Amino acid sequence: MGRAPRLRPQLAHREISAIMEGTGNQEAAMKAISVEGLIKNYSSVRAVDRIDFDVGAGEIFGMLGPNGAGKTTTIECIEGLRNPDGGTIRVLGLDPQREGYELRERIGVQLQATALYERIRVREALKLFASFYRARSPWADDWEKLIEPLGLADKMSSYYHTLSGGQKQRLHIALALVHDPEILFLDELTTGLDPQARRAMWQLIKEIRDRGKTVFLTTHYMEEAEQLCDRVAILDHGRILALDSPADLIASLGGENRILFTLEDPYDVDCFQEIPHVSRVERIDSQVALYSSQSSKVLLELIKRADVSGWSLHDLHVQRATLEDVFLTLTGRALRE
Amino acid sequence: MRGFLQLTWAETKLFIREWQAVFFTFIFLPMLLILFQAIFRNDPSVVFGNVATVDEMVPGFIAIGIASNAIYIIGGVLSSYRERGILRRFRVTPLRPGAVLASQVLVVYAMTMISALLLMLIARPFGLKIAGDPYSMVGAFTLGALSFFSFGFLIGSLFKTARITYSVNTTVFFSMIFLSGAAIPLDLLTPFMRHIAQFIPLTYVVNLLRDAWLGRGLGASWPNILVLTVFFAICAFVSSKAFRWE
Repeated sequence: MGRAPRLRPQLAHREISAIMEGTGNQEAAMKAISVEGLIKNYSSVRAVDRIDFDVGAGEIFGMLGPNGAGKTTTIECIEGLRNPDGGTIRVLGLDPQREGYELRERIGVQLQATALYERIRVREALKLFASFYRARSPWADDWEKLIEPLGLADKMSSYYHTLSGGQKQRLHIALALVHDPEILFLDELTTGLDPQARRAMWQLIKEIRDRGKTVFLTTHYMEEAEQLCDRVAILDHGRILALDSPADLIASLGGENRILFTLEDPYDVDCFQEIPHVSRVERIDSQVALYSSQSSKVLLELIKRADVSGWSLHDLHVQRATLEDVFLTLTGRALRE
Repeated sequence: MRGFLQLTWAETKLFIREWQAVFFTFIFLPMLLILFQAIFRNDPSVVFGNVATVDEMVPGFIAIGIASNAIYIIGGVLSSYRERGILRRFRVTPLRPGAVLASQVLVVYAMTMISALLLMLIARPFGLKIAGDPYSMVGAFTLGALSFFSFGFLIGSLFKTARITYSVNTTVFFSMIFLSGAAIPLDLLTPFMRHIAQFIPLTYVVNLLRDAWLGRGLGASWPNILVLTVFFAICAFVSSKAFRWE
């Protein structure tokens, strides 16, 4: 999973810089978004605190962090909805504040809390939004082609207020795509979707990326960041704590797995700590977690000791490290409170 | 331009699908006119200065239509679009803010005009005589409508939630239609209330429309025109300052 997604962006880079030939600066052509020293304050609270990052053309770039980390503020500064208090933002080489209208011709945005007229039909909404852009929509003659992969083909004549939460969400993605934008912004895309719908959505976003689009998204689901993103910036208290591919972020922890079990019997923590290759032991009530890069050896030893001591280990399983662990290591607290 | 036209078309359909608006504009007002005719009959009455009841009543009802569409539709729709984040969604497209406002004005203007024509049509069997010339009538209607639409924008810009806006709207609307002479002849009010009526902007719309409809000419109506022009300028200025997308 770690390797394959990382090859894609480079392919896309080449395609896009070929298209953008003549703009002069090749380096700039490779970057879809560049942010330097971005600051945003709300009265006395600093929501975003001097962050820097670049998003390459053709990659899925994610911002992962708990609620209130500054993700939405950052994405809205990049979209031009909010004025930063400091720093520079360039999107497709444009300044979102000064060249907002020009930029909005070329980006598609799905807002976090988004709404539409209750009594507009799906087909009407697509036509309406397509009319806002200079370029003719590539789907203008056949809306089905845009809407079919989103699973809305049979909803073309339905009123917006009759759609389910997931269908509304997918319609908003369609509306963000009507003008075939170069960058797609998605703020908390799958919040409120059931796990199955969420997976279908991830597949969809990957297909959009594979058509050469850049995707910038925010999420507070670590699984979403891990499964979907080519690169992830971990954000907390308005700062970027780490930025890399999910695989490399996890590898930075030293490749440790976690052995989990519950144990109701009385025991001494030290007896786990002294098992060879165990680097760390955590206890939450009766649940025990052993961290190790040699999980199979530790498992064998653990079972042996349980047998000798007469413990019954319940719910014994091994978990590989996730972005959740990366977040925990970086901040000392869990992503989900 | 294409965006503006599509938005206007969409807003037209949305207006028609919103049954409260359609009911009030196209059904309730004509029904009320018929009811009032049944109550007052059409004899030239003293309270109307010896003008036939229906001839006085139609411009008054047209003014009620202007006020209700301005206050409820323009004022209410704007704040509910803002509250639900629809204006915000438009802001991330190249659509200009002016196009959103202009399409709203155009649709509501057209709907109000249709309701005015409907009222005149229904009043014909009751003996409506129109002495005014079409240009003065359209001119008076347009000034009355635009000044009140800008007032609607003002209300829609000032209050945070659609719920508050709705309460304010209802208070403003009912005090206006009863104190402006639109629904009840001003001569039936106490002298004190008649004094209050001079501070109600709708009074000037009612007077302007009556002057135009009864053929007194717009020249005679200059104080009304002056008041409404100033009212329009103030509301447009304040709402452009107070307007927020979110």
